[in-house]
Amino acid sequence: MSVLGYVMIFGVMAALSALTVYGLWWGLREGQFFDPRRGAESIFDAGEPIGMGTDGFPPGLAGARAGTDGRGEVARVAAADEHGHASVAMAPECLACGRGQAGVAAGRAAHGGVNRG
Amino acid sequence: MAEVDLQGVAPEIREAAMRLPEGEREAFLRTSEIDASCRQPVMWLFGSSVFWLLVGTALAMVASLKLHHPRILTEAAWLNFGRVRPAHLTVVVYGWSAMAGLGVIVWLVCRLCRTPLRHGGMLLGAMGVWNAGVALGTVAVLAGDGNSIEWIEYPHYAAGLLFLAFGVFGLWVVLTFAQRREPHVYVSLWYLFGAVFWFPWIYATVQILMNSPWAVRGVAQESVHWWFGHNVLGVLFTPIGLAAIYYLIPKVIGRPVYSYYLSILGFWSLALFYQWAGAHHLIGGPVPAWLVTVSVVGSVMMFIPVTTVAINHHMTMKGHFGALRHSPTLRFVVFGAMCYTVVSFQGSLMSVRVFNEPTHFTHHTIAHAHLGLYAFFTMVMFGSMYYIVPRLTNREWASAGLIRVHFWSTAVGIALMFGVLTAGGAIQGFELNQASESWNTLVRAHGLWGGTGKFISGFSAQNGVVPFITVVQDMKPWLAWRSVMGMLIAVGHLAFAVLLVMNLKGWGRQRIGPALFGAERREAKGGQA
Repeated sequence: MSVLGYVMIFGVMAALSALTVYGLWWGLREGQFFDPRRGAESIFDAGEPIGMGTDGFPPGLAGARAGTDGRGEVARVAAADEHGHASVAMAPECLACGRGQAGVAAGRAAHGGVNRG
Repeated sequence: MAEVDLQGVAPEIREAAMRLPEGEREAFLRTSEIDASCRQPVMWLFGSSVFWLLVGTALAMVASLKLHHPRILTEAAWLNFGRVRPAHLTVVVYGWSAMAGLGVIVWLVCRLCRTPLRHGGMLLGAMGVWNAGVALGTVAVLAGDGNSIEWIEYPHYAAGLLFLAFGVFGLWVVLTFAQRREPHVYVSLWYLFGAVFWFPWIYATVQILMNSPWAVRGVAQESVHWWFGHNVLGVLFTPIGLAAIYYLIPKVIGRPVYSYYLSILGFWSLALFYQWAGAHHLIGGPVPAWLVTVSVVGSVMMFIPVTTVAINHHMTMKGHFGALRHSPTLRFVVFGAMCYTVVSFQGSLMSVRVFNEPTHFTHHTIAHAHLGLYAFFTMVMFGSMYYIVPRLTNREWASAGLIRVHFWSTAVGIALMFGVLTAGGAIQGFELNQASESWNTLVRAHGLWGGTGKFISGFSAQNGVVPFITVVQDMKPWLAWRSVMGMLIAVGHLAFAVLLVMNLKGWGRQRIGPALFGAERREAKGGQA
């Protein structure tokens, strides 16, 4: 193999290894790894909050089209647990046993929608 | 609100947004804006990938049939097993898997950076070049211009196009990251960075060292070969698959990942250990013992990232398994996540010498490869598409029934194919190495359990007692069953292709709600769709 080949392979290898180490250093410096709760919850927002399943497309539209208030069946089914306890605001009751679980806060508390860190 | 660019957001979504409480409206529209901006490149990538999936499935069927009926389709040279099989492998790896993965990368990067897609023309160009590379490479392999080296069969002119296109995708990821609105880098984004930076490196290295005027020779060639062959799964497909799982499970069930620390630990331990694993494919080969031993150690250390991922996914899902009854996305993704755990633990065990020696060069290895690239990665990609596509086309899937056909035919098909090849491969390996009599002969004489018991108790240190042609004949029933399972999987692929075309064209029933399993039943009872 020519010198050029060695330079290309080992040069790229060294550069990418350095980039990986830089990525780790940058993540530590920026505090990316020190707040697990923030990290885990960063993919949620006001439009798709914790406690709301998003399997329906899009979460607001599916219910709106069905003539509900913008949540309804979509989120209720997707966020139901193995007993069917729904964990979102618009779900009035458990699908299976009929126990009330209304409210996002109640859903979080009942179904552990909180990151353990 | 004024900052949200509503161009490209469908009128019905804007209308739906107006019904949301004010606090949620802006976030909802921002997400819709991001999805709308991804439409062109992601749908082209998904459409291309499904086209190549069908081509790869057809090639797989021909190759599989030839294993137990070698006299079919022998007239045309381009349909020889030696060409069809590598064409199948490369099409499903670079045509289907990579393009589906790139589509998921593009959408996920925009979602995680919370920024609409920019430089779409650059992505469309790269997608065109990638398609051209796959088409050119596949034709070259079928025409007899392939390299005959597993995983890198494409000749240098096709490989160059793939490298160029992937480089453009990598550049786009960097540009998008630089414009991100979300300060936190979610774990999925770390995995995606791994995929877009590591893959070009291993691909360029293997091309230079094996497919260029500077190619190395002899033992070094095989060391490079299996370093790449193993890592293409570990540094391209595994990170993309895990990135999708870490995003989709929490989003679908509305619950953050169980332990963010574990997820980060999983990423960095994967980065540390996976690259060492490839040389375990050379156990028993004429390579330095230390090279193989280091590789075995690296493979066993993979228990760490895999265990973190398995615990995290299970604990995130705990209490929400009921949602699997209804959600297509969740069903495919969770199936893939479970198979990731199984295939990774199996892979670590297969790297250990005592396990590797009888199973290497048998159908057992083929079963393992299918468990990784299909049962894990492909199923996660299907699940991802079920989540992403309706958000881009503004149209729900036309038929939950067809989705059900897709899931069960692919899940049952790959599970049974894995079982058949694993069992057949084990028998093949033992007959080639330790067995003193054919398993088929013993089972015919003593029944399944009695014959299997005598087969195992008859193991000896002497190799090659069972004639080679007997071993080949003993494999025929297992290979025929593999073809049957392949046909079942093909049915699932056709169902998915039909669903995608219906979605793109707007054919079939226009749903007013998501295509969840059981939605029709609830609708018939008078519930909401």
